[in-house]
Amino acid sequence: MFRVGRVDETLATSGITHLVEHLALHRHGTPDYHYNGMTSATTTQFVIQGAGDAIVAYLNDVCAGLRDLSLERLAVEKKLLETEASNRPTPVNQMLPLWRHGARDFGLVSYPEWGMQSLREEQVLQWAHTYFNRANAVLWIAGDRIPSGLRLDLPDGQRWPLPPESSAAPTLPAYFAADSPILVMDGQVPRTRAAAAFARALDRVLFRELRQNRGLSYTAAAAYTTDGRPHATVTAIVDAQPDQIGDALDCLLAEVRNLAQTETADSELETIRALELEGLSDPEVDARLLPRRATDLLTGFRSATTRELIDGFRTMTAKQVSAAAGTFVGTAMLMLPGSHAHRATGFEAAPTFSRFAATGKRHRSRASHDVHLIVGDDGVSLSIPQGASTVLFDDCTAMLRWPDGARQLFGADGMTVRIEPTLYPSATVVLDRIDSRIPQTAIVDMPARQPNEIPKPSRARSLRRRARSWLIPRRAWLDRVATPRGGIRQLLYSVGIAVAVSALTISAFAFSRPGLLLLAITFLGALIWRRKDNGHW
Amino acid sequence: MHGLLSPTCRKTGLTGGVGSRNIAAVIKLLYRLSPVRTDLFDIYPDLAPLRASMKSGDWRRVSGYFEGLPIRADWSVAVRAVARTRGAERFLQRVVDSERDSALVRTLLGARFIVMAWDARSGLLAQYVKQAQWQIFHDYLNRAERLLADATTIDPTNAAAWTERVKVARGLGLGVDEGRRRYDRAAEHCDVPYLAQAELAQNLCPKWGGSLDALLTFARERLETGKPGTLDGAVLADALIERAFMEDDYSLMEQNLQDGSVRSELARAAEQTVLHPDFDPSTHGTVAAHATFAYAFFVAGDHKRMAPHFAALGDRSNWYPWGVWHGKNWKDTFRSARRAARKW
Repeated sequence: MFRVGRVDETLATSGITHLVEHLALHRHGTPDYHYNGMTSATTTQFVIQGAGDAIVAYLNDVCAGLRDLSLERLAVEKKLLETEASNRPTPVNQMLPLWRHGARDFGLVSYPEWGMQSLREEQVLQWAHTYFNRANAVLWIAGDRIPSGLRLDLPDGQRWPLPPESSAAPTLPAYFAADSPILVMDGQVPRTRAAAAFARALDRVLFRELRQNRGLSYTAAAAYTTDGRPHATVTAIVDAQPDQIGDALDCLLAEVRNLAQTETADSELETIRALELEGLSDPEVDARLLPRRATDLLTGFRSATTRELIDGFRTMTAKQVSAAAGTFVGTAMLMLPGSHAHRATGFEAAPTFSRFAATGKRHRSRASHDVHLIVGDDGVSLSIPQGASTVLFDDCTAMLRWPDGARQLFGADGMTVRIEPTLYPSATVVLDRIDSRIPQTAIVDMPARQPNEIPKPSRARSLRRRARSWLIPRRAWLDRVATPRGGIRQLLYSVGIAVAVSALTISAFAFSRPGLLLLAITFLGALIWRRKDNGHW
Repeated sequence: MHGLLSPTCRKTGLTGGVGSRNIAAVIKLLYRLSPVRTDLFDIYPDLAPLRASMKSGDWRRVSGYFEGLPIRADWSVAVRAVARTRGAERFLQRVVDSERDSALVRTLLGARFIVMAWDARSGLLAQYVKQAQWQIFHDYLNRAERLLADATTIDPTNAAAWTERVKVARGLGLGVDEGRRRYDRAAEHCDVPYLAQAELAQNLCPKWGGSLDALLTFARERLETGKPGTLDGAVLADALIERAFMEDDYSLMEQNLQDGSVRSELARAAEQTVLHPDFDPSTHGTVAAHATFAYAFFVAGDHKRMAPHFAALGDRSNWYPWGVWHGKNWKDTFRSARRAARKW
């Protein structure tokens, strides 16, 4: 197991660890025993289950493979990885890290492996050389002895600590909207037994309330996971029919708060204690805990011994469990359907727009009157009336570039700006300027798009949209004076005045009587100016 | 005017023949010439430098003005004054993009959008508030919410932003609990958050999803725990008026406020707040509080008790609560009530 994973990559090189893992395993060939390689957020492991000599052969092959990657397979493996990614089911909590951490370190697991598009041989070699070394590795074997003949011939190097966690959600607890009728809530808790017990208590209460008692959800569960960081993640997942998701949300929040504010009942606490202790009394518990302990060893977190775990569960109190629940609520990130956002009391919206727009030249979109692309000295913004998304050049983690000229920039905070050259006049000048400001390492060249994916602005549609945006705020006024919806009397009044005004104007010119024109203007005023009622509050 | 002037007119004996009715009309017309000032810049003279700097579009002077305010004072009135300035959004939007970490400009622009949202909604008769208007109302409120959320993220001690967020919670229907949470944050960082209390009182009204009990409990609790000689507790007048507003017609409303215990409760609240000897009459929010007390006593017909409030108000007033029942002609009602008070 190596201390390298997706958190060590950048958005532009994402997937590079996974690629190294594939290239290292290629030479091992067809398996007699079950073997595999796995890349997670914080670690990469190569595992095999089998007899002693098979283990020795496999691990020696892996080490040889890492020292001398099968680079001739680079193009093939890239394609394979893309296929793997497109067939892998998307986990329901995939998007939470993005909203919590942004497009960097711990948030990268939410993004596709864009590195497959642009990674070059020397980058892959460099990566393998830096991270897959002797000091950055741990070997764990579940068995009665260490097989003889292990060489583990790896280069020397250093142990890589976990990168610091960045934050894209300035205020927690926070929520973000997603389309699916599913609720996902995760929070960070200390790695204590009380926190693990809290996760189990939450799991049990959600299942009991949402599935059994109220029948709102099929899945209603919570789980406690660790990845070598000094804190654990508790994730709760609740699904429901679209028309019942509001009730499910109310129930989820009520149960979570209830756990935080009131102490768990003694009988429930004893049940949880017994369940946890039963799990730890399994004779193979130490073997089962090995991968987690290896991860902790690599990241430098002192993980508890089995004895300490048992003692922890024996001595935990209801108060500690509700304190863990309080920490969970305080650090929670909640994914919910957008239509129900107003029900998440106490949760702030995670930022969907940047705080500011870049200052510089504004380019109006051909497709919409009030969409602007702003290219400033230090960044680029896409501004719509609701707000602006801004990517500062210094914070740009990746820029996708298509052969037709389109660009998509990703900011470290998760904001993104898509530039479609067909939508903006003088686009080439803008694109050149942006390209010159983005470091070469952040640029990802994408394959050509289908013609139907490239937007074609329509002048007529743009004009229609503009007319509508002018009309809608004035529609109530129009209704009052000139449409049947405002009442037939109002309409007759308006028509009458309009006729009078036209008649007066015509006669003013026809009979050279300018005085009539003054009268016409007065009448026109009566048409336009109608008193409004100012009801307030 | 639906005969609301009648108590006064009867006293002055001007309801007699045809000729005297004409005289009454002329007097009424002349009365309209005496201004009733509601512009916050006008009614609080210390806001004058702020108006000047807003007019000149000088952000440094605007922020300098706010930096000069005492830290735990209620900034909300100054924020509202800026927010009611027409066209201020263009200037403020520019500043938002150049002052990237300023909580103040986000508070001001958010407050401006709230005013624009309510203007978009209520500048029209209820029957004309169609889907499109609600859309605009919500659109502005969502923009305000985002800006104010940024402001409170940058500076969580910004009580004025939390105050505005209480109002957003009401407009967007985020629920009483959320409104209360926001008020608590405002109260944490402000000694006497009178405006936030008045906003929360609205949130707690049954028409916005609260309950009368919660409203009165909150207002009474403010009066009990508030420091005498400050505006803390004046919100009880808002609460009692809101309870009276729930009646179906004006005479029931009068009865509601004429009740002896209600009047003595109002009088006690007034004595502990705006009429207290230690009360500083230049406090922001004073006019709103006086106007509320004056209105309550006016509806109750208690001319003696409304007199000191009108004396303090002079030609200054506030739309709320006068305009709620009396509509666009509320200033006439205000003038005639003031005239009646001077008789004492």
